[in-house]
Amino acid sequence: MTTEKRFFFSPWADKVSEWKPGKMTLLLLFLILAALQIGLSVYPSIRSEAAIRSGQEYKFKTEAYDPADPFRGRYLQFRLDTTTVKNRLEIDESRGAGRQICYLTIGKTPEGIAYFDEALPKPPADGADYIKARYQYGNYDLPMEQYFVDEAIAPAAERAFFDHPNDCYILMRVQRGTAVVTGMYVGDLLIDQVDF
Amino acid sequence: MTEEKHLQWLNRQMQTWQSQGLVDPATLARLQAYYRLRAQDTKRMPVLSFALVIIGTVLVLLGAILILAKNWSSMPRLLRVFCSLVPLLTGIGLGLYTILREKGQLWREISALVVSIGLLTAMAITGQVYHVISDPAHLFLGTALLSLPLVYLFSADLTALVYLVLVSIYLAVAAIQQSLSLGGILLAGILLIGALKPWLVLQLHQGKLQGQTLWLNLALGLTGLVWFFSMLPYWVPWQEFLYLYFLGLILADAYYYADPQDSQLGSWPLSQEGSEHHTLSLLGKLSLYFLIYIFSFRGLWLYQAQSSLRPFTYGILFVLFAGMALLIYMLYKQKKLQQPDLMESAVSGVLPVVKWFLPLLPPVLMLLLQLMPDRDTASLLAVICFNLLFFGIGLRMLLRGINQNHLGTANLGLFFLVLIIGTRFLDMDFSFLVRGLVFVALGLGFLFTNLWMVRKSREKAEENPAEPIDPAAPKGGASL
Repeated sequence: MTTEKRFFFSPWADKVSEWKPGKMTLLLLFLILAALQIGLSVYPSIRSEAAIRSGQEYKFKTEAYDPADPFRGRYLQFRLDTTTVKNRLEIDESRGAGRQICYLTIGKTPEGIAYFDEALPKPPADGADYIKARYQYGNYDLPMEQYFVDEAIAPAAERAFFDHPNDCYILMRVQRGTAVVTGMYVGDLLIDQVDF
Repeated sequence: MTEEKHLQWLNRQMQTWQSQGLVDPATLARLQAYYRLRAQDTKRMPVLSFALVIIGTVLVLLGAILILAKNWSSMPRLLRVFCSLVPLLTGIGLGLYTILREKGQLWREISALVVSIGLLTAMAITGQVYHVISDPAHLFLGTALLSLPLVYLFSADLTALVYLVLVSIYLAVAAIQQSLSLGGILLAGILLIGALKPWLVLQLHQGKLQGQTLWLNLALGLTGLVWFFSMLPYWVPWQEFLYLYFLGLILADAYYYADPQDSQLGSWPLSQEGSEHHTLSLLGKLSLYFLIYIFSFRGLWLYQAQSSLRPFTYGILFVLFAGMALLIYMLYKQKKLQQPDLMESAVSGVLPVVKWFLPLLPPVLMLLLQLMPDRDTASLLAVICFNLLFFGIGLRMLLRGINQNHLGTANLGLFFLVLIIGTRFLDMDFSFLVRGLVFVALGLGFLFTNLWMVRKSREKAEENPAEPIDPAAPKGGASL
């Protein structure tokens, strides 16, 4: 048998305890919550789909290796080159703020290979494509560093990257700051479809 | 007919009684409250059945996560997005079924749990499908915030636990990534942990947080600890704050759960044992023992001596000291907190206000030692104090365990003694000569104490040959 204890908040708690939502109220609150949950879960997919359909395509040179994630499975870890970035951030090191959110603009070489051009404190005003990143004491942490693949092909894909270190690319679609990796290639072959 | 339907029928009958003037509204309210409480009691499923259902649900959810993690890259992208939503949609479906069919607590727990895990899965798999991983801290924070309303709507204990785990991960990741400032982590901890507080208070008020749900308190204490540690890189006087945090757990346990009739509850670490079911207090006590052991190392104090305190820290500490002293005073007055017996014997006859302040003595001592200009001497004094304190705790526990014939307490005391003696024997921060002299002095002290006790016991026996032997007398020294 439970026993009821009295505290200084008990009179207030008495009043709240008396409020018991009816079935319809509970249903309404739950439906609102469920809509919010579904909406916020689907929203990143909608933005990504929009970027895939109407975003500008960029081809970045990269290399990769093969770790695993307990939730999302096997992936190829890749690192995009940020040594080309011209830092335009106004970092006040005296405040110990060696890290901040930044916006990387994207340029293209005459050969059509994309690279990160400038790091800006705000999104570019001219509407140019950019990627949101985190500046950390001289390094740039990008949101795209993993290419998830079927567990059956991950080890072979890694070997393919080691065998062709200078011929690996990722394709990325970018639209208003939303970036989606649409494919990872060894030469002209999409890594998911390579027959190992 | 189920219990809930019985209750509905009874409620309808009660409305009729009131309309017929058979009962007055006050009596009706009391009757309703009584049957509501009874229904809550009887609704509890057998623990084993409840555990099996929960374990089964968790296994199914983990299996679903692994199946999705396999990455079905041959499937169309949008189909994979839909698959990632299946656990969430299932949970929402279960929730709707639970509400519409007015199912009991088990259904509420399961549907809320499935929704929480479904949210985590959906957000994680979206990153997999589009190969873009946003800040991991946001993944856990987002899931936690979207799960929290379920705790309130369904009064779901397990979802509250999931929420605390997610918040802990978020705070830890934010600290590792240093993505938040000290103020940010402080505020995030207060808001996120505090968001569960009204629900906990209500549960407590309704007498639901008893027995099997006390693990939630343990989770709450640990989440607070993660929060604390996530702020450590920014803080200099972490010793005082950590001590106060653990002391706060003990005081909170005493405040909420101690019964003045029960002499073992809400006690100070050096006092009575046997209150293991008070999870908050147990966590606080064990952590304090560990903390005092850590403080017995000289290297830590020498390292700490290189840093200095910021002025505003004094203000924060002063407010915390004052608040805790007030709470301790209040708990003593309500007989919810016991005096540490080792310390009590040391200050018996002294002003009561000194007694009330005793639990705060170690952090105040730490602060004073940190402020001493001669850091080398301060570190030595600190080490002596905390070694003696830890040694005293072990000795007191051992003696009490023997006196009360409580093997667990005696063994824990013995373990503490062996630990501190062994540690100092191997401690390279002190010279061999100093350690040797201290060990010899301690050993002689024990031997002479024992000799004195044996002689006194003999004298007493000669003076009163008919008097039976006191069973509560210390037995440790009788063999010499």
